[in-house]
Amino acid sequence: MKFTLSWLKDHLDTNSDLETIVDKLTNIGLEIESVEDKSKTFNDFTVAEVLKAEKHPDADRLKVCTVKSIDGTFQVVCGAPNAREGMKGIFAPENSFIPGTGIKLKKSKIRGVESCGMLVSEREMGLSDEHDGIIEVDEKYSLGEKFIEVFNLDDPVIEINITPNRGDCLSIRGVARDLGAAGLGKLKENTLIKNIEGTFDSPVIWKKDFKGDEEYICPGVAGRYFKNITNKESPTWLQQRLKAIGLRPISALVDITNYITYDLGRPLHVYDADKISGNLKMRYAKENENCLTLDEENRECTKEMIVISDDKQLHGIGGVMGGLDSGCSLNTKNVFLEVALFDPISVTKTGRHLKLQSDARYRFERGIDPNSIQWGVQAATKMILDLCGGEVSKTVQTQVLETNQNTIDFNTDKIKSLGGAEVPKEKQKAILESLGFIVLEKSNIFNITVPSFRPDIEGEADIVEEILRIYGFDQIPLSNISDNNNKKNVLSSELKSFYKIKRVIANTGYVEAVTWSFMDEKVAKLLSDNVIKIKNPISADLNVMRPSNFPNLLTAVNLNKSKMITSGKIFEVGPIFDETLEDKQVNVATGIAYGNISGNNWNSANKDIDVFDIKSDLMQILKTLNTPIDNLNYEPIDNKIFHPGKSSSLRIGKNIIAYFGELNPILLRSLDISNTVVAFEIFTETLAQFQSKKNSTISAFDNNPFQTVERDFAFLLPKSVKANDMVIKIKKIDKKIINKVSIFDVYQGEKIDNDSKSIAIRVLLQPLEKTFSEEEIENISNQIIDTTVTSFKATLRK
Amino acid sequence: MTLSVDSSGIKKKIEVCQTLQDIEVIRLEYLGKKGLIPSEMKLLGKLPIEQKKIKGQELNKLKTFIEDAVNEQKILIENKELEKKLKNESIDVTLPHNEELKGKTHPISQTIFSIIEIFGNLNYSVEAGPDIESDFNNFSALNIPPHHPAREMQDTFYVNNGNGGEDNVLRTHTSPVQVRTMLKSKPPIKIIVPGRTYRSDSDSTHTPMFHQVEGLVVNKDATMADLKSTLILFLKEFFEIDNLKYRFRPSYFPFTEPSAEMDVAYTKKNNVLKIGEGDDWLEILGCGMVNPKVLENCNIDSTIYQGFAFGMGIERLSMLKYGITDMRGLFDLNIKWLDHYGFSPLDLKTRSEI
Repeated sequence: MKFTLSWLKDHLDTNSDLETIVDKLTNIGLEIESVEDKSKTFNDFTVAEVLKAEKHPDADRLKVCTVKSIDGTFQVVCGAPNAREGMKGIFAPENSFIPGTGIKLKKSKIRGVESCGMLVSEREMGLSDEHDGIIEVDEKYSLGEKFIEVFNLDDPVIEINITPNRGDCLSIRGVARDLGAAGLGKLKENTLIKNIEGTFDSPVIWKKDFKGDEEYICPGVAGRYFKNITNKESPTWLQQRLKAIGLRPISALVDITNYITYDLGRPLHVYDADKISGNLKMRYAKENENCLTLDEENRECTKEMIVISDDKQLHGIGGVMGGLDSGCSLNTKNVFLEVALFDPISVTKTGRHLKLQSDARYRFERGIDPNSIQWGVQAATKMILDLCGGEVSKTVQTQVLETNQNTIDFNTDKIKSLGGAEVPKEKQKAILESLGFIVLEKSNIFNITVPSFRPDIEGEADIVEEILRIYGFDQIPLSNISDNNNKKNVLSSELKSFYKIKRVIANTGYVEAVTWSFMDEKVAKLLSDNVIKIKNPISADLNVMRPSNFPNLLTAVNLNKSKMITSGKIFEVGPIFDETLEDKQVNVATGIAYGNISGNNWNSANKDIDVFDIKSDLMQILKTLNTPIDNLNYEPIDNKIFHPGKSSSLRIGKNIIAYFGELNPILLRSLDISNTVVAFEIFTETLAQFQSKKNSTISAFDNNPFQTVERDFAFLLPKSVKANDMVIKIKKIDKKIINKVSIFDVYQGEKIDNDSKSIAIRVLLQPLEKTFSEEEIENISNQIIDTTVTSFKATLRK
Repeated sequence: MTLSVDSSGIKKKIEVCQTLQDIEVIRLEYLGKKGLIPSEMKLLGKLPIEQKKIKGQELNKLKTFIEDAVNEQKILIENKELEKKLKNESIDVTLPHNEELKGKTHPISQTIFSIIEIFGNLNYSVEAGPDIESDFNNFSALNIPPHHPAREMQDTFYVNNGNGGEDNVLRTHTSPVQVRTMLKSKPPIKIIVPGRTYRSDSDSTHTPMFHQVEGLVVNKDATMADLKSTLILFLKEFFEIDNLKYRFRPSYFPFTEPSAEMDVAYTKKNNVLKIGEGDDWLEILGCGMVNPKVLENCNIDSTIYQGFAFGMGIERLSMLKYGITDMRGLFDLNIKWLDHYGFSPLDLKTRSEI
């Protein structure tokens, strides 16, 4: 919503300066978007006279002018063909900032002749692109008159953001009312609203055709017929105001409708009455009906749209835009006026369907004062007769649906109990009354009648806001917010694992990324059959919800390769989506690693990160989050993401805790990735069970004094035996004594047969009550050998 | 009789030895099988008891003395030799060390951690909800009916409802978690909700996915003064500034009444923003007293309970706090960027800074 300061002052009697007004607007909820005050930018430029204009001694096209300004006489070198003796122009003194070129003017020599200051062109003043000559001003202006005054640019333009609830402030009068309530002046009489009697009966009448229960769609419409008017260019003051707020003046009739739209928030329409056959009617459009609107588009209407039709054709789309065929031109002699009310939702639907925005739609959507059907006709009548002459008919109108006046019983203590501020009762009342509310006081209850132009006010909370925003939100005091109630857990165990895992993974050497929850359906379909599609994606390659974090993370591989970074460890913790999941999503912590992480250091193994490296990372992460990693069960993964033979899931009980391994080369190929990538995926919610708050006491340290014993064994086993199964089996022999089973060598190759592998283990034995005897050690060693041999078809290597 | 041995002379002889061989010669001379001490020991038997005892003691004392002196000198010589050897063992320690890859948490995560910490200390708990939401939770329950102009303020992504019903939406704000929380629990409620949110908007200052944090307090007596105080405390702690110049001004949200927005003052020098002072204003959050209609929509009696809610953009908070100028960088996979703006996982924001 744009307006100029002088326009505002038409409605508000105020002594406040621009800055005060601007600050107040924001403070009462009419947030300033911008303020354009040319008086500052253009302050230096004034009317000056050219006393002499002589040819430059060394340049044919240049003139050396003697310019007399209010500050003295200056020598100015000028290239403009129209620079001549006796003319008056606009002088920019030395050191002034030229807005059109963005340059600060310096004293200089042009072809050897000193030049102080400048006679400016329209382009240099940012007025237009005109640069063929310098600005000439009429002789009547005297030396020193300000450029902005000569060109009527001294009126600051203010733009404010109007929130959707404040349709009433889509008018300058509404803004003035709010400012008046806030103590910045007094709302003036509205001079446009005056009853002017018609002298004849209108030859066109308004009709409407809606069923009884749909009357609300168009609660009413009124109009008048103006005959023998003269449409012409609007007077300068009107043109200037419209231009200042970014509207293009067209003709007096059209400009009047725009003016009243902004001035009073009342959209209007004027029809060239000679182009209407019969009467005008508000009705629903018929299927496939078309309307050629003012913007010269042929609009296809639907049955839900309100249209205005005569006996032959459509002349507009209700509340959105008028029709081209009956639009007013400079030849228009007779005019018919429309002042209508429409259902906001209907206008919204129509506008959205047609993708058509207009000043009218914007206001109808946000609600128009239902009383404006009367005063709107009056204001339009006054302006049309004033500017275009002619005669006006009596008013014609359809039946107008009565709107109930909204009343609210307001407890004045509410300001304190909800708003937290003390506002005296009299002050509360004064604020409400200045905003147009009618207040009947009964002890601490106000019986409030809401003005017709404030449909947004529905209850006590709204009244609290009205009083407080005018009183000043900055007057709300601060309170003590300390909370001495019992401390609750800040995070549930699910959320604790979700957030904590980020730190834990980062601590394992991974950098965290955040990627879109969307991705390309083409890739997603390779990974899942239950992909969730977005109906209106932002782009064709972000058209489904990701079924996995991997594709987005994997784009890192080639992106960073192009920056000469060929290895990386990256992770993301976030949701993946699947139609079949509860809530359609689950949180996962996903990590990828690839390349030679040690960065080809001379002192480290020159190899790419592999499955066992990432397994080590994963186990460290799980262990830090209290997962009992010794109890993890390994199971093959059945999905298209991981390499079928070089991956595993890890399960505890019925929960899959994580996946890890090499990513499926087929997936990588579809993403144009030539590297091997290893990865893990942790289902953070399954770790919740291990995150409950622990007592900070730690169990006592068991300082076992008896000598521990190490024994090594090497077994020949079938290849299919899983090392972890063997370790678990051996540990089960005696969990108390067998402290640790480590694998220190694995061999497959020429020295043993093809279907076998050799695994060498070291077992750490811890006596509990006394040092082991040779016999005891022998005994347990035999058990280890027997168990392994019988359980896994192994043989002991000697 | 006493031994005619000069112990200090022996010590001197030992001390001038430069090699282990020299030492050995001297050791043999005194301690070897045929050396002085064993030979003298052999003679002891022939002495009368009294003398035997005295001389035996002397001999033993002398033996220990020589042994210690020999050992000491041996160590000295060995150390000298080792020293010589070590000098030839030098390596080029300027060769590069094996650099451990350091992981980082994302600035968005770090911001969320800070927010959780600050509100956790005020006894808020954290809630979460799904990204795919029903129209009811995201809009209707929050007093945003289908054709309300406020819906045009938010460009919504729609997804099919698997059950063929009304379309679901990608939540346009974290506010639906307010609805979920109010529907499942009774007041008092005191929560914050950080999370992913979505709007169909993409330019230099908008991304189709972003993060918000939502706050909700419902009880019998929460006021706008409490709301204002809470937010000021939060912003001061978050930006780590004592003097925060702010503006608390009226605004509009369908789900709050009264509604407000908060701006903080800033200055910009050399493309770096300084928050908290200056003449320019930056909008930082929206808030208000929960609209009674929202309470009623969530089965909470609005004649008994009231409360406040607030919401802010986490990207904006991150960018302002950490001086990140390009919003899109936050969603990039540039490892250098992530490393540069990321945080050490040990960077826990505690008051003591331990």
